[in-house]
Amino acid sequence: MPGPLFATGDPVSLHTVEEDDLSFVQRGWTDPSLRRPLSIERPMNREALSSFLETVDDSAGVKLLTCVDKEDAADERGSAGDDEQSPDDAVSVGTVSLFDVVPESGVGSIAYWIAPEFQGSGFGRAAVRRLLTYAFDERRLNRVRADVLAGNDASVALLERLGFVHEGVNRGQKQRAGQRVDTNVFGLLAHEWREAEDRPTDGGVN
Amino acid sequence: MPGPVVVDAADDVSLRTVERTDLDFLHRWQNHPTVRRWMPRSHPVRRPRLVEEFEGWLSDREDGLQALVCLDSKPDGEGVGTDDGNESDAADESAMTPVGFVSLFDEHPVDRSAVVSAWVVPRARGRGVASAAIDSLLAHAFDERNLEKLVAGAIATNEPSQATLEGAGFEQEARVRERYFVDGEFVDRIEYGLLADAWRTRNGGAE
Repeated sequence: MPGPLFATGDPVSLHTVEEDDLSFVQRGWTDPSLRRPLSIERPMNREALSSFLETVDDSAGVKLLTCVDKEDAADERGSAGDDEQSPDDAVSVGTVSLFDVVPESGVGSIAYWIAPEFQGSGFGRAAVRRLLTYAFDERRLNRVRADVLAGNDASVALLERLGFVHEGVNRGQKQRAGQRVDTNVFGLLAHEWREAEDRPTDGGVN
Repeated sequence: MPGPVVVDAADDVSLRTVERTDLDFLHRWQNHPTVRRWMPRSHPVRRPRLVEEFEGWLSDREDGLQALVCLDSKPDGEGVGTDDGNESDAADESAMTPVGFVSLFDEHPVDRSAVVSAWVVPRARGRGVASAAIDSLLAHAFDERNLEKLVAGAIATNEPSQATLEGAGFEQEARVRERYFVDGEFVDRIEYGLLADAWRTRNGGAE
């Protein structure tokens, strides 16, 4: 069951990650279609995940649950509900994270995922967009970075749509199935974000 | 005093283990403006923290490699000398003078990648000392630790470090815009990368 509401970014809301959410988060970190682009090589059991989430609380970063209204979730899944999900209105669809924050430099990195059954509806973009508002307007960051595994076109499209600039390629940074694989470096600066946000938008945030 | 050599010496430059008696050197230079401005590092390092680091990761065999860059001092006092008050003992067969520090860290066991960094004190710059130190570190990284990819970085205004990295075979991979705040303004970081295959081609294989 999603923790309390932390921020809204229509059509998604961001919530704290609590013990009841561990099963859902664990899914994202074990499902091969999700964990591989995230470069999580060691699937975690719930104990390990719980310990890891405590370190997020200690660090300068945040991890938040991306949720949508039950109605929006039902549209995506074609069912009115799911026994494992919360009886409340908010349904978990993914997570967003801000990490490697260096306050004196004003930099941080982001990561995000959306469960396969909820992809394709703009939930990921809305969630990242709201996270960026948090990063730039509340954490006063000047720069946000995202690293994307080569071949993850959907993620690249999401970032470019939000104004991220492709800054380079870490060649052969990872190894997958016996091959060296590149990672792409993306960066977004606060003034670029603000200029983009000043233009007419297709959704509100608060 | 620096410990034994960890990587074969190149000319008169060697990489040696960091021992407790070397903490004065690290303490002094990690805080010195002429060194920290290029890292860049904006926080002072007090002695207790340095000791804690030394007893933690610096002495942890699992976590990369940290080593002092040392120059051979001639027994009769020629060569470098030191500026921390410890003159080479003329009776020593070869006194090692620490002039810098190299680090291999953030080793990723699955991807066999790691980060390298290095600094040398001002009077040891412009003489190929950093280049020799990095060459030694790369040989260790690729041939002993079996790493496949190394990354390094330099702030955009640090042209000497960029030249050293490029001279060692690193290629520019990314311009991380406005990564640091230095002297009152944002400065980019240039990220460099070097793959094991490229290094081997360049260096003709293990020696």
